Amino acid sequence: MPLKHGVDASAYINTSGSFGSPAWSELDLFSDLTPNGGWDAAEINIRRSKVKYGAKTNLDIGFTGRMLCDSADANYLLLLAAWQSLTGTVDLLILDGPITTVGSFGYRAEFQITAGNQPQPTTDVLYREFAAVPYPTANIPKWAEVTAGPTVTFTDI
Amino acid sequence: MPAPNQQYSDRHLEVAEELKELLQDQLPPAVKVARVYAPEEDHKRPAGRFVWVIPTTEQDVQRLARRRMLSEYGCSIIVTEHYVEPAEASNEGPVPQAWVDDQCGWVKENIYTFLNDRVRASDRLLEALWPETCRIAVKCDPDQLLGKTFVSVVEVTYREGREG
Repeated sequence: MPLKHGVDASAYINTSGSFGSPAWSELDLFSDLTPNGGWDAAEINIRRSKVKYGAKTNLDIGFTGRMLCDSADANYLLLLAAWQSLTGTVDLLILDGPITTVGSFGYRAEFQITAGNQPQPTTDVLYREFAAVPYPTANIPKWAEVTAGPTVTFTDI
Repeated sequence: MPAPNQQYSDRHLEVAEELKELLQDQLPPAVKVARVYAPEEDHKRPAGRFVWVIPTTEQDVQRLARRRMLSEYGCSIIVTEHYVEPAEASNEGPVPQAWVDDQCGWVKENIYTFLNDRVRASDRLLEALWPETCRIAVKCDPDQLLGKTFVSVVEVTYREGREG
């Protein structure tokens, strides 16, 4: 059984500036990253039954991630700049495995970085705790799956 | 028996060598500093103070990020000096306590305090490693002192983040 391991999960930033022709560069300074995955649900109450029904409406694909601070790492600096910017977005691909492994799955969207908390304990190296939400650019978020090739196949969410 | 350095990573030896250079630059020229695997018998000759830098421990302490590891390298700094009697004195009797106290003071000031300087952490060893721990493991070895040789041991560890 091909188990998946957290250390093999991967996140990439598109450095090409083009959504259609991405150049993926791995954000390898992440230590822990948690992609959200919860749907909002509208409540439906009808006489057919006494159960409380519901229907999915919107999907949360934001994420939180703890990243090792390294001011010499170009990708870290891109996220830092996006966090500082009021309007800036970053095109990110979040997968549960390597981009070269068939079956790796996740999503892609243009995100705003909404948090960059940085605990500064005396006894530890520094990390920054980023949080991100998808921003409604013209490029709508996609499911992403690595298929034979390997190639990343995108489908609209 | 394999050559001793086969048991050590290149990085660990690099750290020990750099530590030797650091101490050599810091200490007076009369002090002999060398990177070795064990103190040599030379230190039993009345030839002054020796500082031996010995690589000891190496470990990956924790995973920092998906592709980064926190690695730690340990070294022992062994300071030795054989007691030389004043010319007019006989070669009998214990080593004077004041001489031992002076030796301990020298080790604390020139090795322990120097290497334990966290402020200097901005000036990193090999531009990457910071001092994590520093302790005087042996202030003065009593068994060696019976043979009129002062031996003190300071243990240091350095850490760095590396790809892995």
